[in-house]
Amino acid sequence: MKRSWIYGIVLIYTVAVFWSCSDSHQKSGLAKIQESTDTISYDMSNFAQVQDMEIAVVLSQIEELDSQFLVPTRAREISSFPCSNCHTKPLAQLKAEKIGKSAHWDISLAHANKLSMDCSTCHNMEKPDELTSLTKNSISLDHSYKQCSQCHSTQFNDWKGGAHGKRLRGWVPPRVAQTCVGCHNPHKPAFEKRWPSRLNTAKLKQEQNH
Amino acid sequence: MMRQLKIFRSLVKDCISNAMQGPRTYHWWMGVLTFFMLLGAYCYYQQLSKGLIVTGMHDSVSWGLYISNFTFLVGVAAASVMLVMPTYVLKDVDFSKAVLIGEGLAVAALVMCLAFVTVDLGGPARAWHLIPFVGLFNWPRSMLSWDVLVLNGYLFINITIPLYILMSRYQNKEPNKKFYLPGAMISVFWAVGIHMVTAFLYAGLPARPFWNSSLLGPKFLASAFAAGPALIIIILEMINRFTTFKIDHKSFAKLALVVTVAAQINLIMLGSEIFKEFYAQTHHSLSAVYLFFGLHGKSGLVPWTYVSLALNIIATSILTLHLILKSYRWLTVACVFLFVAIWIEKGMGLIIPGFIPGPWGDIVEYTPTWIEVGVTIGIWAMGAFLFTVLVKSAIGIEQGKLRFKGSV
Amino acid sequence: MNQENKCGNNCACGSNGEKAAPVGDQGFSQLGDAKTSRRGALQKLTLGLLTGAGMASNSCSVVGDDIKKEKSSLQWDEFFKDNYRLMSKKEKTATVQRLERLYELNSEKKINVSSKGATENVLFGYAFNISKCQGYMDCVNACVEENNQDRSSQMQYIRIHEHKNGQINFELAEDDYFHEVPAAGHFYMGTQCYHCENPPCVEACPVGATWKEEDGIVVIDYDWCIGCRYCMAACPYDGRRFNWQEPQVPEAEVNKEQHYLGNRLRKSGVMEKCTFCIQRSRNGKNPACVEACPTGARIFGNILDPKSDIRWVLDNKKVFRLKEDLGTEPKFWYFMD
Repeated sequence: MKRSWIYGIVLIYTVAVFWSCSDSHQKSGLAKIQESTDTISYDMSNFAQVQDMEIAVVLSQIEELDSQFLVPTRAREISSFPCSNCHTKPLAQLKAEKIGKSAHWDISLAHANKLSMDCSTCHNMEKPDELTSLTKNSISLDHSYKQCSQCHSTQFNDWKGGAHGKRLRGWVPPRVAQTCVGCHNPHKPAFEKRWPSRLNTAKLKQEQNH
Repeated sequence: MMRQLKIFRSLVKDCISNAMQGPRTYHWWMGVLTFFMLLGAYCYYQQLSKGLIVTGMHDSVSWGLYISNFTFLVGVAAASVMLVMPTYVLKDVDFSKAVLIGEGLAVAALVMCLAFVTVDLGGPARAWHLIPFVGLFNWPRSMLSWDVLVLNGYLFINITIPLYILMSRYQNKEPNKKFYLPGAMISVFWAVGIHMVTAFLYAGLPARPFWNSSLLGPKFLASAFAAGPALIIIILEMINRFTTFKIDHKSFAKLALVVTVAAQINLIMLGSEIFKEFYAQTHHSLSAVYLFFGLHGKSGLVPWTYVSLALNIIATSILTLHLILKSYRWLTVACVFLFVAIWIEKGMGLIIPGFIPGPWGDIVEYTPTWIEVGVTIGIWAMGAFLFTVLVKSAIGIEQGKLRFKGSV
Repeated sequence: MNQENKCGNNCACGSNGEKAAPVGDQGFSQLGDAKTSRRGALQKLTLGLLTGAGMASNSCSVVGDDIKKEKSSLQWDEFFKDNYRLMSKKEKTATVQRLERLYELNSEKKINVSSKGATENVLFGYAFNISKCQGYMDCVNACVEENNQDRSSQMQYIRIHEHKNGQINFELAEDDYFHEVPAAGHFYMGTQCYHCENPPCVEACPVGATWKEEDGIVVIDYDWCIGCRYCMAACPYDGRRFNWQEPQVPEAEVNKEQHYLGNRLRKSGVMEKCTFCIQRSRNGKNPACVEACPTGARIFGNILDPKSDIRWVLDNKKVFRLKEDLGTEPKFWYFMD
C-alpha cells in the first residue's frame, strides 16, 4: 500500500519532468537560413510606407552584378551644377584670365598623397561636368562610385554586396544604397572626431542615487 | 457536509476568541507585531503609488531584499518536513507534540513567501494572469510557474492535514490515519520539491554563472534543513518557557541532530564552492570575488559575508561539540547563530552577487531603501502574527482547552 | 501587378500575420473559447464585488461626465482583455482602437496604433560592423525618440561599449565614456536585445507575456506582463529594461506612429525592450538605429532572403555572435571589414 503510493508519486513526477523537457531539444532555428535559397518575392502593398519615402534615385551601373540596385542621384544635389556654367573654358585658360579666387578655391585635398592624387585624378579638366577614370574615360557624377572603386576595390565589393554603405529607404527591395560620396567627403574622406551626440549618463545617475 | 461546515465555523470562532485572550506579554507581543504590520502596509502603499523606484533595485540588480527573503523562507517552509516524516511516516512518536507547530511554521513561512513575491511584482493587479485557465500559465516551460504551483500545492497540503487532525481532536475523535497518512507522505516529497524547484529557478539561468551550478539544489536543501529546524528549536524553546505546553527533551535532541548534520553538510558544500571559485579563478568567479572581497572598490556585501561565515562556523562547531558531549547548553544560541548565518548566506548573499557583475560586466551595487526594509519587516511581522495565532489554536486544541460544544 | 490588385481586396494579405500564434506550441493548451468565458466570469465577479464595495457606483454617479464614464469603461475592458498572442484579429483591432481612444481622451491628440502581423517568409536579422562604429551614439538618441522611452530615468535599449584595442572584455570596457570619439586605440561595440532564436527570457516568463513572433522578433505584451522580472534575470545580454516608475514622455515628443507590440506608451511596473522597431520594420523600413547610424555600421534585413544585404554579410564576411556557448542563437551578428 505504502510502496505503491511512493511509486505512483515518483512516476507522476518523472512524467512531468520529461514532458517539460521534451520540446527543448529542437533543431536550431537558424538552419532555416541555409535552407532558404529561393528568391523571395515581396508583396509590396504590405510596405506602402517605404514607397512613400521620397529619395531621388538612379539605377546603378554595375555590369557584373546579377541583381541591380538604386543609388541616390548626385548631380542635382550639387548647388552650382552643371559646372560648365562657370567652367566655360579649360582650367588653364581660366587661371590665365586671373578672375581671382571664386567658388571653391578653399578646397584642399586630404585624400591619399600628392604622389598619387591631385584634382585631375578624378575631375575631367576638359569636361568639368564629368569625372574621369584612370584610363581617361568619362564617369558621370551620379555614378561616382565607379571612380572610387578603381582604388578601393575591397570597399567596393562590400558595398555591392551590402556590407558597406548605408541602406536608404528600408530593408525591402528594391535596394537603395548610399554611394561613397554620400558619407565620405571625396576631398577629405576620413570620418572626423566629434563628441558623441549624447552622453550615457543613466548609469552615472544610478550610482549617485546609491 | 453541513455538519462539517458547522463544526468548522465553531472551530474558527473558538480559535479567534482564543487568540484574543492571553497574558500581558502575549498582548504586548501581538501589539508590537500589529504595529510593524501597519508600518509595512504604509510602506507598501508608498511603493504601490510611486512604483518600484522607491526600492533600491534597478536595472542591474533587479531582485533584492524581497526575493532574498522569499528564497530563504521557502527553505524554512520545506524544513517542516523534518518533523512530519518521523512522526507520521516512520511512526516515531517523538515529535507528535511538535509536529503541529512545524506545520504552522510551514504555513506562516509559505504565506510570507507568497507575500514577498507579491510585493516584488511590478503589477500586482495583473497577478490574476497567473491563475491557470483564467490567465495564461506558462507551464511547464517556466520554472517560476512550477514554483507558483508547488508553493500553492504545499500550502494546500499543510493547511488541510493539520486542519483535519485538529478538527478531529476538536471533536474528541482520533484522526483516521487512512486520511492523513497519504497526505503526509506527499508533503514529504513536496517539501523537497518546493526547495529544489526554487533552486532550479536560479540554477536554470545560464545567464547568471553564480547561480548556474548543479550544487545549488542540494545546497538549498542542506541549508534549509539546518535553518528550518534551528528556527523550530528556538520556537519550541520559547513555547516551553512561556506556555504550559511542554515539549520533551528527546524532541530537542532529535532536532539538534538534524540541524547539526545539515549544518555540517552545508559547510562542506560551501567549502567546495569556495574551492571551485577561487582555485582556478575564471571570468565566472567574479560574483564570488565580489561577495568575498569586493570588485573595483565596491564591497557592500563583504562585511555581511564574513559575519555569516563566522556565525556559520561557530554555530556548526558548537552543535558538533554538543553531539559529542551529549550536552545541549548552548543549543539555542547556536541555533540563533545558524539561522542568522543562513539568512544572510542564502538571502542577500545568494541573490545580489548573481547580478554583480551584470551581463556586460557592469558593477552597480544594491542597498535596500527604508521603504523596502519597512515592507520586509511588515511581512515578517505578519508571518509571526499568523504563526502565533495558528500555534495558539493548535496548542489549545491539543491540550483540550478548545472543544466542540455544540450538538449536531 | 496582379498581386497588388488582389490585395486591393485587403483580405488575402491581411490574414498573413494571423497565423502567428501557434496555440499549444509552448504549453498553452487552454482553449480560447473556454478561457474567454472563464475570464468573463471573473470580470463579472469583480464587477459584483466592486459594486458591493460601492466603488463602481462612484464612477456611475457622474452622469454628466460622459468622458469619464467612457474612459473608465475602456480601462475596464483593457484590464480584462486577453493575452495579445491569443487574441483573434477582431479582438486585436478592438484593443488597438481602445488604446487610440484612451489616448485621445487623455491628451486630445490622435495616435495611430498598429496591430500589423508578421509577413510570410521574413525572419529579421541584424549585423553590426565593429570596424565602422565610431561611438557617436546617434543610434541611442534615435532609438529613444522613436520608441517613446522614459525620459526621466533615461532608459536606453542600446548600450555602446568602448573597448581597448587588443581585447573584447566587457568587464574592462567603458560604457560611460565622456570624450571625443573615436578615441585613439579603442573600438566600439553596440549591444541591445539580440532577438535570440532560443530566447531564455521567453522560457522564463511565467505568464507568457513575452514571445517570439513569426518574423523572429521577441516581443512583450505590456498589458499582460506582471513585472516579476524573471526574464531580466534570464537574459544573458542585458537586453531588457524595467519601468521602475511611470514612464514620462513629453506630449510633444511622443512618436504617434505606434505598434501594439512596439513603441506604444508603457506603464509603471512592466518590462520593455528593443523590438527591432516593429512599427517600422513590419512596414519595410529599417529600425531607427540603422537609419540614424552615420557610419553604416548597422545592417538589418530578412535573413531568409538570399538577395538581402544581411545575407550577403552572413555568407561573405567572417561573423561572430556573443556568448555562443549559451545556445541562445542571437539573430545579431558582429563582423569586421
